[in-house]
Amino acid sequence: MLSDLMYRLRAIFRREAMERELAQELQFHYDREVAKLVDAGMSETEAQRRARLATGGLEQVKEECRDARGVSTFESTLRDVQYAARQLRKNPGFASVVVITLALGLGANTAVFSVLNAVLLRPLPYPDAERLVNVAWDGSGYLQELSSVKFQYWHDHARSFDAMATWRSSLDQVGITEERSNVRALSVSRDFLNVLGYTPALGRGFVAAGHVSGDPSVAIVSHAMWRTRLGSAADMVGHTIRLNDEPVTVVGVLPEFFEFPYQDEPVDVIVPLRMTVDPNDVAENWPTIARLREGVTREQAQADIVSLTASFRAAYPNQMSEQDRGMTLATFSELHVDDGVRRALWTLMSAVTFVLLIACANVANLFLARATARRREIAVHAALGATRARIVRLVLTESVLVALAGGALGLLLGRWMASALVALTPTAVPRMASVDIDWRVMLFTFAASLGTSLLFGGTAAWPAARARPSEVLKATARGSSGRSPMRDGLLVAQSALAMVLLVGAGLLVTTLISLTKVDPGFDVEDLVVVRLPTKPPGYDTSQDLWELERRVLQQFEGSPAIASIAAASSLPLERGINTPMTIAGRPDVWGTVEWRAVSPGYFQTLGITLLAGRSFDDTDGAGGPRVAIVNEAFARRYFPGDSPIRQRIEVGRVKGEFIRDPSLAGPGVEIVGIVQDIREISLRSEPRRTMYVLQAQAPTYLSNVSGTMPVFVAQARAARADAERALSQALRGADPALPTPHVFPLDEVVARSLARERFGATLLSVLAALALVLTALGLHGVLAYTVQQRRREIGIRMALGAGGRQVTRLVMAQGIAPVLVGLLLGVLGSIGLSRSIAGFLWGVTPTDPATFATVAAILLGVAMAASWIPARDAANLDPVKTLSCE
Amino acid sequence: MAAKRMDLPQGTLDLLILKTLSLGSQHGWAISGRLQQISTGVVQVQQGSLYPSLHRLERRGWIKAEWAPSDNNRNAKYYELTRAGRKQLEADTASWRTLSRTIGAILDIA
Repeated sequence: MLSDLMYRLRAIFRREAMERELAQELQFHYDREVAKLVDAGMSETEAQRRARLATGGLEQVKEECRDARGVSTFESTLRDVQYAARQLRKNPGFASVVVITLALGLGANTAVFSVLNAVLLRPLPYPDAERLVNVAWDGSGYLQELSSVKFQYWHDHARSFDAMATWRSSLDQVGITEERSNVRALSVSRDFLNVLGYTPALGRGFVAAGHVSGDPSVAIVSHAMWRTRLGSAADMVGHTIRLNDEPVTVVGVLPEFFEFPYQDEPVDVIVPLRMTVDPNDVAENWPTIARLREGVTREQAQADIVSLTASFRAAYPNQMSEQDRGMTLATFSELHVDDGVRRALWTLMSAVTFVLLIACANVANLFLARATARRREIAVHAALGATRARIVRLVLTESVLVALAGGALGLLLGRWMASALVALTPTAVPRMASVDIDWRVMLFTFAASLGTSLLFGGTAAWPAARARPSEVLKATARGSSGRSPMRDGLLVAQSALAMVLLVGAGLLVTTLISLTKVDPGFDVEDLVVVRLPTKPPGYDTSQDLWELERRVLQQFEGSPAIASIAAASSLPLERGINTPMTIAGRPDVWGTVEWRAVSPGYFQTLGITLLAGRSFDDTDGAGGPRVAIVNEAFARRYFPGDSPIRQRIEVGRVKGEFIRDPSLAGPGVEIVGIVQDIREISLRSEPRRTMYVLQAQAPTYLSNVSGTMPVFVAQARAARADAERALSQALRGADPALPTPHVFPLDEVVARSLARERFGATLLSVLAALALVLTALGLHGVLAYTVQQRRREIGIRMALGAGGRQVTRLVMAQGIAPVLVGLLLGVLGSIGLSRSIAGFLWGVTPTDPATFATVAAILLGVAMAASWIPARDAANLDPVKTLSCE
Repeated sequence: MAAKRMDLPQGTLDLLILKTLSLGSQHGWAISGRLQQISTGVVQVQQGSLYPSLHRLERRGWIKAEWAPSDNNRNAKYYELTRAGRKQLEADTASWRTLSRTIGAILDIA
């Protein structure tokens, strides 16, 4: 055993010496054989011939001896690698083109995969993350957060969880010394840290009697805040800081690596939650997470929480509608990554895969050309006894080597591309900030490199391995047409993939163009928006907000800078608020409508036309009769063929019950006017049924839903800068404690509402352009190579009278034919894939003939240009020189 | 080359090499010559099987190799039986004898 090991080790580490000895040994045998035969009376040459025959292939004998040594696999691989590296070093131009092409493809894949990995695949960053589950309410097909009663019920009755927790996020003000600053605070239920599996780095967690209502005078601060604002004081625990002007005692410091992906911004402070559990409150706004009990599977837990639904329905009938399916477990990405983002990511992943395949085809072509050039070398190997498997291995080793180099470079490139992707993504995507190159990404890139190398290496090795050495060695370079089905096949595949990408990009661009042409229904020009970034303390009720609006608005009566100004709870094209309502006197006519609290000048300022009835005026005040204005869509839906004016709406009422705020019951809100429809939600969605009410009359619960301050929008009279300054001053004048507002033009809102579409269209266009360039390079390379191979034939044709034009046509036809086939396949492929892109489109069908025609023209044009250059070179050949040089 | 040439049954080449080396160390060419000579040309060992066999035996530790000057003053790789190789030769010889006797007996009876 030991000698065996020593032998193998020696074979590995003293390979060259052993190899030399083997050669010497065999040479010795050969010489002795020759000498013996000469002694027996044979001529020297005849003896040599006989001895060689007896040997039966020197390489083969050597190979079998290596096999017998038992280290052959490792060792011959090592040898192959060295050989391949030597071959590549000899040809640095080839090697670098291949490596760069692959790095581009692999880099793009690495970048997109690292985003996919961070957002969708990677488990949450917690200890035993597989035991962490999200609990959600399945209301007839879409997942919601829980109402307070649901949270309490399952918290008390579910047996599969160690702990269950909820939280609410808010922007608070913290004061450590004199100055106050905004911090992101989480109010959490008692077991929050236990569910995540964290213990504080310093101090303790929350200990409270009730699971949802903790001691309001304590807080845990983040590690970053402890370090930067509290000076890393070791005795921080027990210290008092001021939170929203209330003194709170710091009882703990979070660990440094605390992450909470449910929240876009980092968390600064954690305070105990105060939740009132009210059986009449059906608002679904408590996100819920839980930690599975040790040994309990997800399936068991799912069965457990589902089994409680029936008893819950019996206990709280008003908490469930007929269609509700009940409690369910959900994954983080199901709940927090919206479907559009998920589909966009997978679409992007497919797009970069296409680019990689195109790059792969280019490299395969380069390898094929090289294999043809090296035919003789390979044939010599084969004649010396190298087996077919050995030759394939030789080519594959080279492929693996360049692919790994491409992969390594791709990792670097991908890292850079990923950060660009993250920085440029216009919408908030959960966990996007945690994108990095972790082991999963590395593994992916490694696997992708290997897969790629097998693909192009295999393609190139196939013909090389099949060639018969005798024929190759006999044949001269002459007479080869340079045309091969493999090469044509690669061109077809490339063009087809490029066509699919181009169609995708074309459709997204068309969508973007049609969206920018949509009339939003309101004025955009010269309008300035002023928005407060946070909600300062003291603005809790609708009345508080109205007071602020009034104080700001009245400063502009007769202002030289501002023609008109209005306030609103939110802007069109931004996230709105909706509410259930019932038409008074018709309890079965109810629905959910968009809701905006505005000031009287809203319609005038935004240029929204009043179609019937009256607008809000100064007589409609806080104490007056409650009035509303609805849009056309509302009127059409609830009062078809009838006037809604003077009709009444019961806000918050569904089937005889006021589900949000029972105190709203009363005569309802009277409709006093109808305004024209505008694009409320986004440019791509039809106008929603909308009701406008005055901020002065808005129910507080609606004002507080989004937790934001009113937005002011103003029509500038002259220079926009003057208007912006006047607006900022007016806000400060109304309340000096207000935070500095953001001021921006309204068209920014419109542009922002298209940011996703613009980003998608740009990204896919870049990828399609890359695909196009790679395809063009591939085509050009193949044709240039073919022209080189067919020099002689072309020379003969020209000598026989073929003109330059004929030659050009001949060469170009050879390039365009496979592109045309690929183009057709690409069209079919795009039609086949139309379902997967349809969701991103607007104003264009996924099989839009105009788009198809345009991108087909682009592809053909580029293909013509790419094949024209080698065609021209062919036409410029000098037949005399070509024919005489061989 | 009077007698008909025979292909060696699988595995027997190793045994014959060990036997040849039990008489003293030899290089590859001499081993093949010796085998041919003793078997009066019946056994013809090709380089393609001889050298892999030698390397296999060396790896197993039954023979060991050493470079030494040969009769024509060139260095040759001499193989020599090790103690383990000698044991192996005895065991293999015994089992070969048993096998051939048994097969002979069966052939005689049948």
